[in-house]
Amino acid sequence: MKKIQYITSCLLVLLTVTSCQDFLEEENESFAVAEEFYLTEEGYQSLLNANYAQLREIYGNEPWIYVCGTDLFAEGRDAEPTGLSRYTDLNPSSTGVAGLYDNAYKAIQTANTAIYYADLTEATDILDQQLGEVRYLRANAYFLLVQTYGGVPLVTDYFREPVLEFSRESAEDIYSFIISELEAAVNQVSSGAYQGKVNERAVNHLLAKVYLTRGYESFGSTADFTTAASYAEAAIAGQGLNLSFEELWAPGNPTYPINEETLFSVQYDPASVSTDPFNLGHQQTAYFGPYQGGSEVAGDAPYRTYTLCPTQFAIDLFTEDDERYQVTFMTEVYERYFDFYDVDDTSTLTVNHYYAPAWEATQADQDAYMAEHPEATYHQYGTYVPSANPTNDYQTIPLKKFDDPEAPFGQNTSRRDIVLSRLGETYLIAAEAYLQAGQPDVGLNFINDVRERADVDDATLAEFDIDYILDERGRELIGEYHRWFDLKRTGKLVERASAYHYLVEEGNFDGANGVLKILRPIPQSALDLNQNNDFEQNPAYQ
Amino acid sequence: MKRNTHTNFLIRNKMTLFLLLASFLISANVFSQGGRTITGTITSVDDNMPLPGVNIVVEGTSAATVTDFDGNFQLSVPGNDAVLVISYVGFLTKNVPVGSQTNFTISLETDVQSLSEVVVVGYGTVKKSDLTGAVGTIDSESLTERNITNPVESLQGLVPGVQVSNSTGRIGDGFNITIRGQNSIGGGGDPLFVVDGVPTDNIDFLNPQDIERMDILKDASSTAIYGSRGSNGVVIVTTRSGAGAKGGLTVSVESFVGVKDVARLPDLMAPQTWWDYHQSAYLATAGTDPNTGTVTAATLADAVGGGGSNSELLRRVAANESFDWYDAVLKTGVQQNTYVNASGRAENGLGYNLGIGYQNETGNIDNEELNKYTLKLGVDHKINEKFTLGTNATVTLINQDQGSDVAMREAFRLNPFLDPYDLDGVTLFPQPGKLVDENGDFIINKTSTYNPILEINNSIDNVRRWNVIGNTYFQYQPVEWLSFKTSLAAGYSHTRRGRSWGALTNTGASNNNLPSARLDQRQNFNYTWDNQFNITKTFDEKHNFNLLGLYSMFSNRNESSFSSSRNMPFDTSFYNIGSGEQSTYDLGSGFNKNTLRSYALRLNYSYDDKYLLTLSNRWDGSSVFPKENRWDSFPSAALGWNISNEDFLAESATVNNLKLRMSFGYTGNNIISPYSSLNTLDSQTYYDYAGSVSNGFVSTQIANAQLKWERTREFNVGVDFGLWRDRITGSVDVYDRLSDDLLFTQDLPSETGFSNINANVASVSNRGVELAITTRNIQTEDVTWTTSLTFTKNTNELKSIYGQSEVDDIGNNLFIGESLDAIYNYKFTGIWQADEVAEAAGYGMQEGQEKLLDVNNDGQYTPDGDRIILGSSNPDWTGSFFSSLRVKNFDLSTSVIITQGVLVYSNFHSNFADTRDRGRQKLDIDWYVPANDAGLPARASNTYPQPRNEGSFWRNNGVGYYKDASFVKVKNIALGYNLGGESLEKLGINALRVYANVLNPFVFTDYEGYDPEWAGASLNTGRPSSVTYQLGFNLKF
Repeated sequence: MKKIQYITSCLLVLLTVTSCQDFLEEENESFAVAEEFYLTEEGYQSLLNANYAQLREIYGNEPWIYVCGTDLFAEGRDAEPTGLSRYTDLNPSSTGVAGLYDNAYKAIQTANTAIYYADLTEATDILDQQLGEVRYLRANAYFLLVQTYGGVPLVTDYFREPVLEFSRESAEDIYSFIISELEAAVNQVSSGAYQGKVNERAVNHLLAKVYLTRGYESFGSTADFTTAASYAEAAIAGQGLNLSFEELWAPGNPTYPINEETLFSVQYDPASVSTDPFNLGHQQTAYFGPYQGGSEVAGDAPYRTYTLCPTQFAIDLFTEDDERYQVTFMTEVYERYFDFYDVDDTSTLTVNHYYAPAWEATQADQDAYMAEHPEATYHQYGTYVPSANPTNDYQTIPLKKFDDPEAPFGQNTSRRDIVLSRLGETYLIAAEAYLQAGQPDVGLNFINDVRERADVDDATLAEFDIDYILDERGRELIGEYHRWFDLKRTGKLVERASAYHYLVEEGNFDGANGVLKILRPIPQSALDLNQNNDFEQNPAYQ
Repeated sequence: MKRNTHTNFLIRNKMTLFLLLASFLISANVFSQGGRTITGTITSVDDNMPLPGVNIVVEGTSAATVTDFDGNFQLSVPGNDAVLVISYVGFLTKNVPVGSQTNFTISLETDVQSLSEVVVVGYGTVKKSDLTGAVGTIDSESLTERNITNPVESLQGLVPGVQVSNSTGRIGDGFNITIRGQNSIGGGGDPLFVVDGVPTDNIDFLNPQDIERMDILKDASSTAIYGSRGSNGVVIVTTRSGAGAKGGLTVSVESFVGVKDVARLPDLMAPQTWWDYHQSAYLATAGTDPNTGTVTAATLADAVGGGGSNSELLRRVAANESFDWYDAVLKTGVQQNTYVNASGRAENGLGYNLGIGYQNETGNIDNEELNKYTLKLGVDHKINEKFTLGTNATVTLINQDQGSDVAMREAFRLNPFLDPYDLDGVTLFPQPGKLVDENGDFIINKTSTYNPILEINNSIDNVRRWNVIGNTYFQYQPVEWLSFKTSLAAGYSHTRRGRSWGALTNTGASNNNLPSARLDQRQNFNYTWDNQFNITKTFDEKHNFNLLGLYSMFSNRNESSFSSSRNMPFDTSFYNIGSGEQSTYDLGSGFNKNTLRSYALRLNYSYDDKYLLTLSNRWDGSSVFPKENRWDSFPSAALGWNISNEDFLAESATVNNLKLRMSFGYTGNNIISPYSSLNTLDSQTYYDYAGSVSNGFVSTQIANAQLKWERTREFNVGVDFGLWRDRITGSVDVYDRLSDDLLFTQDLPSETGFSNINANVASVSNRGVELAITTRNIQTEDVTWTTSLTFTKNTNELKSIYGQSEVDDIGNNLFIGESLDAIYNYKFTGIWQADEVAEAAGYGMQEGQEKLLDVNNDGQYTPDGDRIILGSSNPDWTGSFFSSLRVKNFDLSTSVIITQGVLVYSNFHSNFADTRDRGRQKLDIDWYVPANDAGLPARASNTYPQPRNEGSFWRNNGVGYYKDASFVKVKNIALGYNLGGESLEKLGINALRVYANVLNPFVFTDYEGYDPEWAGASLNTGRPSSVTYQLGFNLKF
């Protein structure tokens, strides 16, 4: 019986002891807490890193909304989201409409978080510079939004509690906000060379583009073009286009160093995707050409969806002497596609596919080529485009400027940086800005600098107009994520898409209320979550 | 006596099997006093088995003894007037006057009430007649009679208000269980499982044969004692322990084997039908002839043929050489289950129960197998009148092979003209849709889908899960009316999931033809420490009081980790992750913990067995809420009236039992992830600056500092009845519950930049009726026939969100006045036909595309005007029917479950009826083909659109894949035969039943996918329906 009394009293003691402890306090072992971590220098840097990482989400996925439904690309054997590529059934729930909206606002909130904690975090020498970088990233997100969807809600607060209702601001106000942010940022960021972080030239480039774009808007003015030109010149900073176009796009091995003409890019070093290379890489390489086989060709050829294939118009932009043609397209596909990069002497390799250019369109050209390469499939000029309704692999010409020969086989696997701003484009922005500002002679010099590097004849003042610029942008920047914005900005979307995209007709753009479907619809998923029932859809989709 | 000796001999023999136990069971404890000595044997009336450890006291004296192992006793009695009081756990106490007799053979009757007429209500039991709440009790016989190896599945159809459904049909995958409708959203809808005092996530790991009983607490007054976690109902599982063990030694062996055949396979297209479909699917996209401007037979053939790279495919089509992928991948599964149980009680009052079980089941595709090993031990010791202690432990090992999660899907999707072999017809070819000739040129050039047979052979997905649940209690009863009990219950589980993808798999093909692997580990430890006191007092013989006080602590801790690597030089499954390439290493780990502290009081009062009252309150503090909102209290009250005990019914020949119950109470819910109120940086981002890696950390959720308990208010009225001496028994319950401050992972507007927040957002009502009736139709010595019916109807309705009841939150699928499972979309009404082209054009649609209901008749399809509630995945009603017939030694039983009014988004259809796809095998659907120049016969379907021209709503909104998944399922039919008689007795066998059982023999449904029960399952894990045929025996000796 003593034993039992002993046990009982032990239990009673235990009971009293345990009651006193902080039994109900949460033990959070795995994660840092924002209110503490972001106050440290390391923590704030990680928040900054997270801001940059948003670029990967914005640009690293399907590029439909940037390039689809334009004059340069159309679907090959596989379907593109028809809403974005053909405009007929473009509606608020169309595939690809929501991604940019969601990702841009995620980037904006991440930036708002960084701006909120900038006031609270440990003061460091680089804090101001970091703040400038974040403001650039946020402005860039707003710039994407305002071009794509028009006036959108302006969110500048860091949310610590849920907000369920949002209303639209005017596009004009969004532009004003972007400009004021960028003009403040330009004084904050580093003026050093580009090493992956936003610097002064990157901000100047973006400012040039924002002003240029606003210049075309109803609330813009000619002064915007003048300002755009001066920011473009500031971004150029006297630097010439010294690299050859080939050097500009040669894949590095095994990593892809930043070259001197890159002003801003989304960084994708292989080491930063190694934990999950099939998902952390990006998709730019997976488009702009024909399907080249499934996993059976892993290691030999890239994975490509059969979409965003270059149109006849895109191919015809190039002339024989244009160095950019050979750099942009894989005109000759070896038995193993990547041998182009991996084999030093390619002269003895077997050719599987040959895409004859316009300047080799005769039967004699074909016979001559086939005599030398009897095993090749010879794709006659005019046949390797989407409008020819390709059904076989390799039936349209592959774009090769984004190739990443070392990447694992898959859709999300590329580790090349996605170039967002580069010197060549800055020249073209300057050219366009001067043209629109009424100084075509000055603008002409800039466009001709770009042409000279490509070893093509100078443009003349007589032919130098907005169409010429768009053509030149097509040659210089094909596949880079600008085209839809270029056409929309210059008011040429309907004209050019319906003229050169074989599945788009002018009538496809007819929207509700007599408004053309140029601005994208506000995504239905966003409308569905927004508790503000008066939030207006863009008129073409009402 | 000869027989007895023989039996004893057998018992001894059996004991050698359980030597270990025996060593501490056998102890002589017999003592005697002076006076006249009597001897005797105590046996059980039921089976004539001797009962060891029976207390025998001479009334009014201290003279006492207990029976020995063979049920014999010897005792000195003062004289012939003495009365023996014979008492034993689980038996009715018997008084026997001594008289002049010296040798006694006394049989004890089982105390029926103590076994079946008691209900476990949480921290105690009450007599069924004293119950005031709505509790469903399932005994071990009902749980095991259908031979189902998963304890949750065994519940199917047994209790009204409890919906059980299979989640995928794959072996080892769990079952969904919902009690009285869904009143939580976002995954917190499971009831609380309490196994021997240990709260667990699920009970899949238990062997149904180890379970003594399950009590399902449904209404608030019953669950309120579990306060915090009671709002979705509570399932109390009591495993067989030593406490209920009878005297002597009972050994039972139960075993069955079964085969599981695939059944009711969906009708896929016949090979030539598929070929017709395949060609039609190119019509919308094939090149046009420049001369005619239309698709012609030639341009179509070119598109289908892929420019001459499909010569072999065309040959096979012409020769109609098809391959049966169903046949190649599916096989018959095998099932076996063996369970051995031994229980008994020693003469010193120590009761024990030992169970060992082994279940093995192979799936309907290779590489899917489940092995479950269970070991269970319960020991209970009544030290003396005041102290009792006991312990109960269950150890389970589950070893489950899940094989390849894509193989079956891929196999069924491959078109019927592809086969798994290379040209030699023997060697498995990696990509059957990319067949090449000896020169390496394509002779079939369609899909890159990897050969599912290679995929199955070379994929490993093995889950090994240990579960240990243990409970030890110590009870002190200083005086008859007061007892203290402390019990410590702990659960530990360790789950290891290892996956590997060999070189010859699709993953291998993308990884330089080398293997890769991943290992996940998860550990959970939780303990509950309950301390309670119980006061039971009766005044004036009519006022019965019972007061329970409880203090309880609960702590739950999880740790997890994973590692993976790729490009391994050799195949070591997942046992050498380090052998992969360093640059491919990926790892992670996690921790979380939550705690709960509670106090509770419960008072039961009954007056004259007529009027019953239960009052309870529980105070809970949970760590997952912010400090200010941590504590809440959950009161409840219930009344009962045993009308049949009133004088006016006491003599009734019709009504022998009638009880009215009413209850009202509150319960809570704290099922949200820990740290929801903290701004944890739970999302890692990846980036680099010019090659220097720079990771970031952010939150994806907004921390919610206002989080608080979800509270459910419930009102329940119930009637229990028994008519004509229980020829008809049953109960009806009506309830109304309202859950406020519903915890929900709320998706936030895109503009916030955050994905979601855990918040108290809504108020939802569940109202329902539950009915259970059992009738004893025939009750004679040779024939008994019993049938029972259950019916459940629950209406789920969202009352308000964000403190208002006007505006829906479409984005979160929350619609005021509708079910939480409401499906909101455009309504698909058919296909635009050739003569409707003009009308279709008005909607921006074309011939052959989907037609929708223009709800507001404005001539266009708009999200605001034309999306409506189509239905709900919450059934309109469910029911079940059981019949059990015994004719002499034969028994025949069957059970049927019914679910009606369910609308689901069928993943099966979104794949196998997806007309966007042209190359895969399809459900045998009727598709649309417009008039054309390509030589394809026009088909005017009104159910499926023209392939590759389906229209954007079909594509983006999935309007065509909502299906009615109502069904009636015959769950089992069993035929058994009880062998009896002299010959068995000679062998020492008390009972032997042999039986045949068929599981899931018939399903009546309009649903065309695998099985309506898991129509919503994902395509990777959903499996075809099956029928299992079992043969087995139950042996007791």
